[in-house]
Amino acid sequence: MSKINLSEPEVQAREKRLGSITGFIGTASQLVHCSRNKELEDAPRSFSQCMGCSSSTALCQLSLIQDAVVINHAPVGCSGDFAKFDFLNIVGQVERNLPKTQGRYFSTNLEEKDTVFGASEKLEFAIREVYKRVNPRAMFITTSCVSGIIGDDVEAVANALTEELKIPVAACFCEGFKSRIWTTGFDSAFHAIVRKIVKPPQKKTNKVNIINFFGSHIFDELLGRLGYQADYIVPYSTVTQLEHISEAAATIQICPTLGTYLGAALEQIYGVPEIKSPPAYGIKGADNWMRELGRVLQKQEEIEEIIKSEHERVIPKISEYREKLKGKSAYLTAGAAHGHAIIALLRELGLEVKGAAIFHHDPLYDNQDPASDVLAHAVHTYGDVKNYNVCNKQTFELINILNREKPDLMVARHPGMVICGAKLGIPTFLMDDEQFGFGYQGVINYAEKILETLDTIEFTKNLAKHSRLPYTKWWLEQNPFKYLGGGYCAKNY
Amino acid sequence: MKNRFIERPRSFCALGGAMLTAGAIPGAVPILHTAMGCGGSIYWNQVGSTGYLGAGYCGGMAVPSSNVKERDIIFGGTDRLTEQISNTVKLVEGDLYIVLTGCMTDIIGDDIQAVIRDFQAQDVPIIGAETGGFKGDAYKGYDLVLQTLIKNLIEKKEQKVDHKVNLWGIVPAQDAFWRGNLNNLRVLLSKLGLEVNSFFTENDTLDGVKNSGDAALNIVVSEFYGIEAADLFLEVHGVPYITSALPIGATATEEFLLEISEALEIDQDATNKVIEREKIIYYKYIDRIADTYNDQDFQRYAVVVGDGNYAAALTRFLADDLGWLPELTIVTDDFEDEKKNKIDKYLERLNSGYKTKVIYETDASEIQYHLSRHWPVSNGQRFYDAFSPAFVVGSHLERQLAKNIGAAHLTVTYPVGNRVVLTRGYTGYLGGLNMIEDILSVLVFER
Repeated sequence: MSKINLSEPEVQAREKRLGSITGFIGTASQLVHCSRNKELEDAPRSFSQCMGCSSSTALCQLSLIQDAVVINHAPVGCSGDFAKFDFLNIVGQVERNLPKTQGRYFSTNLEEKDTVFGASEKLEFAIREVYKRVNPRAMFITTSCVSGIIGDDVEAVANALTEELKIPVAACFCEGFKSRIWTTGFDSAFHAIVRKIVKPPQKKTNKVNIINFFGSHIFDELLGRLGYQADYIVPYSTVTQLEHISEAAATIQICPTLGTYLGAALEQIYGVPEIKSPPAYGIKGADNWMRELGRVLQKQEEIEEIIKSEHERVIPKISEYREKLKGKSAYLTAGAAHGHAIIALLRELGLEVKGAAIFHHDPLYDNQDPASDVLAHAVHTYGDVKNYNVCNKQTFELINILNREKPDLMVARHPGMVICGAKLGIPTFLMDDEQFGFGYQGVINYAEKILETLDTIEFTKNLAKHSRLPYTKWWLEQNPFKYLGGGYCAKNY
Repeated sequence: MKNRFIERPRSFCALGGAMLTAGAIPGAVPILHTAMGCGGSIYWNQVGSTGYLGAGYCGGMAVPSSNVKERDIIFGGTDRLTEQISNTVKLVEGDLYIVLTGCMTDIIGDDIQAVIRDFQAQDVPIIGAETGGFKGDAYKGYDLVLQTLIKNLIEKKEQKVDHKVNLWGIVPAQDAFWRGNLNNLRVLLSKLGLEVNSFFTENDTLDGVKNSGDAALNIVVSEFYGIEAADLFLEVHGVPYITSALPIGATATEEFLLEISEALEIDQDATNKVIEREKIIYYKYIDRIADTYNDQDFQRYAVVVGDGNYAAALTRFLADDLGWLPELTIVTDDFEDEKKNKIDKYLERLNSGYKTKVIYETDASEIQYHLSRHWPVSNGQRFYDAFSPAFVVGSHLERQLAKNIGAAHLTVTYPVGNRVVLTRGYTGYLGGLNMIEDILSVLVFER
C-alpha cells in the first residue's frame, strides 16, 4: 500500500507516489498491461498548450466547503479560478437548498517586492484580518509557484495561527510547477483536510461517505433502502461534517481520480472501508459495484433484489436506445477514471468508440488494489479501445485526431475541450455531473442526452462552416503524436 | 493600503491582461512561457468573469505554452522556450507571435529577448514581453503588450496623417464590453472625418496596427490605463496623446468630442454639427422613455462600483445624464494618491453639482461597511430618510450588497458573470442609450 503519511506537510506528487503519466499512445489493453507490469514511463511533449495545475484542483475542493475560507498565497492571477468555483458554489447551493452565500476567497496579492523580501508576514496579516472579517470555522492556505520558490514557511505560519486563533488553519501545498499532473491538487486538498480537519471517530455511524464533485444526490434512495445515509463530501460540506467522516461505515468513490487519496487515507488511518470496485457505469459495471457495496455493508440479499428489479426496469429500455443509436460512433476526452466510465457507457449503448483522449493515467490508486483499476475493468467488460491516448489535455492532438476520425459524437468531461469538437462540426456535449451517468438509470440518462445532442446539430454545423482553426494544414496531416516523446511511438494512425 | 491582501481580486494578473490583449490583436497568437497552470487559470477567469468570452481563434486551452517544470526552473527555461517557439510556428498559423512570460520565468530571469531575436533573424514575425503576474494587474499587462508593439512592431513613419488616430485605454476582456466600447467610439470619431485604429476589435487589422505610427494623435479614453504606452509612443514615434475619461452618454461624449476636435484642430463648426445631429437622435429616444421615467419615478439612489475607468464614468452618467443620485462611488483599483486625486477631482465637477462620496476599496464585502458609514442605517427612529429606492451598478460580486440593501442591480464592471456580452458597448451616445435600456430593464424585469 502507498503509505499515507500525515506527519509530512506535503503530499507527494502523483507521478512519484503512484507512477502516473501524462503521455501514452496505444490501445487501452496495452496501457493496462504496462501499468500492471510497471512499464510505464512518461512522455514529455516538445510542443504544448495551456492546461491546469494543482492550484486549481485544490481550490476546486476547498473553495466549496461552506463555512471555511481559502487564502490563496499567490499573485492575483492564481485566483482566476475563484470566479469558476464561486459560480459552482452558487449553482450548487440553489440545487441543494443551501443558504445562497458568496464564497469567501482571498489572495495575498504577492507582488514583485514580495519575491525579494518574502511574504510570510503578509500571509500572517491576511489570516488574522480574514479571521476577524469572516469568523470562519476553518481556513485553508493554498500555496503557489511564487510562494514556493521564495521559500515562505507556510506550514509554520499555519501552525502558529492555528494555536493563536483556535480554529484549524491548514496549509495546502499545491505549487503548480511541482507536479506534472494537476490532479495532485486533489490529493493536496484532501491531505490538508485529513491532517487538520478530520477528527478520530467517537462512534461508528450509518453514514456512507461519497467523495464527489458537484453531482446530483443519487445515492440517497439506494443507501436509504439499505439502512444507510449518504454523506456527500467535500464540495458543499461543512467543516463539522468533515470532522466526522472518520466515523462512516464506508467510502464510495464517484471518480477515483478525484478521491483516491482521501479514500485510502480514511481506510488506512481510521479503518473506514473504501468500496474498491470501479464506479457503477454501464449495466455490468453497476452489477459489479452493487455487489461490492452489498458485501462491504453486509446487505447482499437486498442488493441482489435491487439488481434484479433494476435489470427488469432498464434493460428493455436500453435495447430500444441501442436500436436508435445503431451505427453511431463516438470519441471521448476526459479525466482518467471518469473517461474510463464514459467508455463503458458508450459501449453499453452500442456506440462505436473510435478512440479516447484521456488527460492522464494512474497505474494504480492509493489503495494499490488492482481491483480498483477502472480502465482494466472497462477493457475486460466492454472490450479494448484501439486508439487510446493519454493527452494531457493537449487540444492540438485532439483536433488532429477528430479531424481524421470524424466521429458522429464527441463527449467531453472538461469545459474548454468541447469547442474542439464543435469547431469541426462534430456534435459534442460536456458532462460535468458524474452522477448523471452513474448506475442503471445513468445509462438511460446518457442515451437521452446523446439523442438530444444528435437531434439538432445546426448550431454546430454553422459554427464549423464559419470558424477557422488555428492549426496549419501541415499539422492536420501529421501524425497526431509527432510531438510526444518517450518510449512509445504512434502506430495506430 | 498597499501590501495588503485582496478579497476576490477584480482583475486578471499582468500575464492574464497581456494574454487577452495579445489574443485580441487580429492574427496574433500568444505564446506563454510560464508554468503549466497559468493559461488555464486565465481561461477559467475569462469565461467566468468577462461576459462569457470564449477562446476564439487561438485562445483558451489552445494557447501555446511552454509549461515549464521544476527542472526548467532550476536549470533555466530558454531551451524549452526555443523548442516551443520553433514548433509553434510550424503548427499554429499566426501573423504575429507574442511571447509572454509568467512569474516563474521572470523570477529565474530567462532571457526571452535573446531567444526572440534568434527567431526574428529567421524572419519569424515574433515579439515578446516580460509580463510575470506579480508585476501587477491586467491593466499593467495591457500596457506592457502595447509597449512591445510600439517598440518592436509598429513601423516608424516620419510623415503623420492628420486624420489618423489610435484609440486606447479600454482593456480587452478586463472590460467585458471592450469591443462595443471601442466600436462605438470608432464609429463616432469617424463622423469627425477621422480614421480610427483601435487595435483590438473585429474591425481592426494587423496591418493597421503596424502602420499606426503615422497617426496624428493617440486618444487614450482612460486617465489610468495605457498611459505608459502612450508616453512610449510619443518617445518612439513622435505621436502626441490626450487622455480622457471614458465617455458614456451625451454629456461626457460631447466634452470628449470637443476635446478631440480641439487637439486635432478640426473645424469647430463641423464638430458642433456632428454633436448636434447625434444629440437630436439621442434625445428622440430619451423623449420616448421620459413618460415612464417620470410617471413611475425611476429616479434612484445609486452605489457605483468599478475600476478607474468605469467608476468615474458611470457616476457621471448617472448624475448628469440620468438624473440619479449616485451617493457612493467605489473605485476598486489599488491606486496611489496621484491617481485617486484625479478621480476625486473629476467627480467634484459634475454638471449637476451632485456630490458623491468616493471610496477606494478592493474588497466587495467591505462595501456594505462603507455604505453604512456614509448612510447610517435606521435604528428605529420615527422619521428616517432611507437609502431607498436604490440601485447598484457594479460587478456581479455586488449582488449580495444589492440584496442586503434591497436595491436593484446591474453588472457592468469586472467580474461580469451574470451577463453575456457580444456587441454591447456603453461609450458614446449609443452607449448611453444602451445603459439606460439596461438599467431600466432591470427595474421592469419582474413585471
